[in-house]
Amino acid sequence: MGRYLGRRLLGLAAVLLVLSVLTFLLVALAPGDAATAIAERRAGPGASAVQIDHVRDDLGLNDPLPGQYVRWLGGAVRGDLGVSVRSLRPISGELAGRLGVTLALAAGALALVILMGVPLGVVAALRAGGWVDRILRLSAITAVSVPSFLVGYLLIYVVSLRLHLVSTLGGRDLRSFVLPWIVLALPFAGALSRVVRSTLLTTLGQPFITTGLSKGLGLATIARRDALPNAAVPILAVLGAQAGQILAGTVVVEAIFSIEGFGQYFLRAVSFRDIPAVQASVLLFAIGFVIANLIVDLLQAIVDPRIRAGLR
Amino acid sequence: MRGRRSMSWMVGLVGALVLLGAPACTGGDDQGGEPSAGTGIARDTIRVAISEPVGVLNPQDYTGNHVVLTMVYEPLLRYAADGSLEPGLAESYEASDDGLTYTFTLRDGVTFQDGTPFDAEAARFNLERWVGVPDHNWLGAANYISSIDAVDDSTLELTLSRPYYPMLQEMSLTRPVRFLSPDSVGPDGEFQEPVGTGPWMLDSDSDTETVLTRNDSYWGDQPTLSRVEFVVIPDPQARVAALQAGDVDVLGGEYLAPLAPEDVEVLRSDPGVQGLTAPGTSNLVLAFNAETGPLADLDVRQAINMALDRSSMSTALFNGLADPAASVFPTIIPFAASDSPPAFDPDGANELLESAGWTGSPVRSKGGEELSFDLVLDPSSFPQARSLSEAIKAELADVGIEVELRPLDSAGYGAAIVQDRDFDMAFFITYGAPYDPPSSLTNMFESSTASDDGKIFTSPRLDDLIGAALASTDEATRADDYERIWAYMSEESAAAPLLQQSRMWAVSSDVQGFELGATEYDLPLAGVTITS
Repeated sequence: MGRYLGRRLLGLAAVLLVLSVLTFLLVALAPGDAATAIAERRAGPGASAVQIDHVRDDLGLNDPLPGQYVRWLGGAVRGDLGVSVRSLRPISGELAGRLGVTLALAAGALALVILMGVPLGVVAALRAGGWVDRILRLSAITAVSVPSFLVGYLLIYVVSLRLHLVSTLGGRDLRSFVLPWIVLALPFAGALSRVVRSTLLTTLGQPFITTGLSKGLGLATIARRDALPNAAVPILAVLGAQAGQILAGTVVVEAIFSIEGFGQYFLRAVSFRDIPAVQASVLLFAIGFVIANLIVDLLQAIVDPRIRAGLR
Repeated sequence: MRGRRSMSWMVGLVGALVLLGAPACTGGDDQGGEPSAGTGIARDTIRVAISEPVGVLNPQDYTGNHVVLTMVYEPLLRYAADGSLEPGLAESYEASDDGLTYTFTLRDGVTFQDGTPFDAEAARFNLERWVGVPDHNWLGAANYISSIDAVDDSTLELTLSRPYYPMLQEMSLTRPVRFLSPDSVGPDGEFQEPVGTGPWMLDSDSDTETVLTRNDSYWGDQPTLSRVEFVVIPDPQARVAALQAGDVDVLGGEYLAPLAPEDVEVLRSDPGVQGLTAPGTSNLVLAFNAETGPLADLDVRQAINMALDRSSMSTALFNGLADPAASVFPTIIPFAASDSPPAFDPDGANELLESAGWTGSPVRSKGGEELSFDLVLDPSSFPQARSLSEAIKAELADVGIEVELRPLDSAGYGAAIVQDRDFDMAFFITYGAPYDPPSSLTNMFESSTASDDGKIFTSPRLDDLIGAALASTDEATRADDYERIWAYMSEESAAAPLLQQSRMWAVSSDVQGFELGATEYDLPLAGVTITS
């Protein structure tokens, strides 16, 4: 297990390094200029070319790109993500203040995905072909296909405007998290339920299930005790990918429900061409994505000894 | 056996995630206790929507939200709705005949929110933070004030290096001219806390909410309300829902939480909401890059001006919440031209282009040069740009002019408009009250003023005309000076004025006594009450 973990962590570092280069280049090569933005921020609507160039010098934006990259990476490794050109405050501090609300949003949604997706998938598999299965399939397809912003506005309209049950502003107290969680979780729960159903059905066709049935065990018992654990590896793989996508999905959901988290920070940084803040946000999103995948891989290795032995 | 063990960790995982989610969210915002719809809005608190966090509330910085700054800080003179200047922290002023010396008599007994007296010395301290500082040289006063004297506690004397009558109007602006307590800054004079003389003072500030409380020692009219909460709601749809649900009481304003014309329509049909609209103080203008190419041809610029159907743009794209613009500035701006909007005349445009030698179809050309232009737009900061540019494209196609739309993000747009001047046509919006006409004229039409908003049109002749109007000390001929500018712009078709957008606000019907301020930067709450 230790060697497996080491191997995975090494791979993770490589992925992050590549990601950091891509992030850096993406922003560096895009049109537009942060120095102008800062000069305007300092000098108002009439920043002169001299002032802009002065800012560019201050930020090291006149240096060659590789030099800028190395300086940035060196700071990032030490937890110094630079200073926001928009606020002139350290980015680490600004992001730290937003970590809690985005994690709460993503973690709650992930929990909801599992709580909805797994049981519904199991039910659909056990009732495969029946009307319950068909209704669940239709619901899952709907949940996956309807865009989050539409679901979000519909829920706000019905729950907040018509029924007056919760505030339209999310992420403040526990109650105000409920709608954002649902909106964020729905498409992923729909997709997960389909994966659980098909994986379970495949597993239920295996010979050891027939053996169980011939021993007189009920289908539900077999599904719970034997089929589901065997189906867990592919389901976990899907969940790992979903965890990353949920993190990305917070950008939209935070906008709909006025939640000041990572997503909003990222959006503002992009529109202001706040290069250090964009880089830091993308890097953190990437780290979140990679860590989610790492956790899933480790869980898979715990479930399935063949994985940690490197046999698969 | 193995199966059971696997099951239990899965249950454990789910449990852990639920637990992880629960405590983290209670830490989200301690102000908690969100009022849900219709209940519990305290009678002394008003909640105002704002599209992004207020930023650094330093008057000499350019990130702090304008409206919040005007509530905390005060100017020497106030800009009134009719364009006149009223006493603020200065009770009166006197200008010398040569237009070089201004003497302000300061109001007695005014103190900053930290108890520091506001006197001539405090005023001088503030002026020295921006007068002559290169960062603020977009502002005439920063360039032309040559000395600042605190004659006695209540007398402040400013000497200019050249006559510059707009100096007085610039004294009514928010940034960088308003007054910060000299005791509030750090040892090196650096900004620390927002402490002004205004009726509101900062209570708390976070990414989600900024709270102001009433300044009980305010010298002027005391507000009835004791608390203003600015609630950050970035999404325009979510803002409309928040007002309808009662989560905020005030929504709108160009610098707080802009409303779209279609949202005003929705809100007007809601009995729980009162809509407030008024003619705006800035104009939307289509600028031409007239230095090179076919747009250097006056006939082409005139033809474009004739081919644009401003009244259908107003009704179809803005639900009537914009009026066809006649000139660069709306008539509400001091000294603005009193022209009527150019007539919509596509036939005349076709004839003009034909007689100027631009022929052919579907795209006219002359000497191998086609009437094909790009129109650069930034939909993120001006959402109506998309539909408006589509309309312009279609209208100009009717007179044989091809338009290619080039949407850019804000940063890319700034580069294209200002540094590279890489555009044929682009939308400009004049600054509006209290900046105009001087600020838009110098920043957008005068070649010598460095501007971060780019130039609409420049020429040596226009430079002369603008310079003469701003340096004149003769009030009697000032209107004539400006008339010459407007006449020249019109002869040259220097730009195509499009629309005067309305000011759009909406407030909950629980709110009484709400009136629009003199400018979009003001949020006067003195007479406002809430019952619920």
